[in-house]
Amino acid sequence: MSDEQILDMLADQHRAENGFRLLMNKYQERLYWHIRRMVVDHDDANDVLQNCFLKVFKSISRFQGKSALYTWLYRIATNEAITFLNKKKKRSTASFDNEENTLENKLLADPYFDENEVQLKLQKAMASLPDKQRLVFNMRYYEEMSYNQMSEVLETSVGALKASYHHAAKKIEHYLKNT
Amino acid sequence: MNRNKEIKKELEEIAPMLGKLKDEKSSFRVPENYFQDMQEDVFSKLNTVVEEEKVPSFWEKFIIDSIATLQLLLQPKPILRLAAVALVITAGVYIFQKGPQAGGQQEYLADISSEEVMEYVNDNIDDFELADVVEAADINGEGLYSVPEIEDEISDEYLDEIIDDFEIEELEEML
Repeated sequence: MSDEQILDMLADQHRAENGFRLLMNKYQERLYWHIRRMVVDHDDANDVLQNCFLKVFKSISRFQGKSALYTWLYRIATNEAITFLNKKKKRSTASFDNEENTLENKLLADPYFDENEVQLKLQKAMASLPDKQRLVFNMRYYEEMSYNQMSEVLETSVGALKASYHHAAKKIEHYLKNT
Repeated sequence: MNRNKEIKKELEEIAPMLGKLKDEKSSFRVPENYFQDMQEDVFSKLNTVVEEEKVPSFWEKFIIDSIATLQLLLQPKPILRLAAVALVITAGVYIFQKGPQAGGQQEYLADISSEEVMEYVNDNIDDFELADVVEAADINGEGLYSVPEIEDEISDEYLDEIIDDFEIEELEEML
């Protein structure tokens, strides 16, 4: 079903629930993986995704169609994930562990992460990137988005995104080769 | 060229190892039936929110209305306007009782009608400080225009009482 048809249903009070179900069916997996790669842990990703959909439902009437629906949804999901990470950083008490060790422990404790040495190393390499750079890397490397699509979602120039992605890829490559 | 190939080609130069890992299976998984269960959780939360928004109790409605009224009354502009009107009336009574006097400025002011003074005050209401207007209006020093202070006391007490009954999120939404 097209986005226009879904939006029409959402605008009609009697069909809004079905419309919202269709919207979730269409975008939930993409948004989940977008969020999961940022927050890493499944339970955290679940919380962020649910908050994201609650926000979408409450504010769908304000969606003006200036951008594609998926762009708008990605933007909300990205903001929710970044907000979650910032809050988590503030909440976390002083720890003697560095970020990589914390992530490693977290991944090993996550029942929804299959232990795999190469993947674990890759995740640790990604954890060393700043959030925004990691976001750009994920969108290109895993979600295979074009720079133009990324530019619409992140409201950043294509040039800056290319530079950010190249920088991130080089840092990860360096980490993989040297550890 | 499809996107996957384009990305791999891009990585060949800058990060060949990453390029090779590109098609490896991800280690992340989701629980069985996760997406179906997640949808039900979202709908259940939405229904709870809708129910809460739909039926405010009598007291909730009373408190919300009271806060809205207080906010309206405590806005500086209506108070300033009330004080300005009181100033004009008092000035008029004062001038009328004293009668015309010699002296340039007072004679000049006596020629200005109450309507003109009121119009001037209304046009320039933003230039007046509340305290100046109240002080100017209290010509006989009887403290007749101390209403804002009394209201502040009442409102502080009243607001403290009712604010205790609210969740922070509810207050943030109202403000």
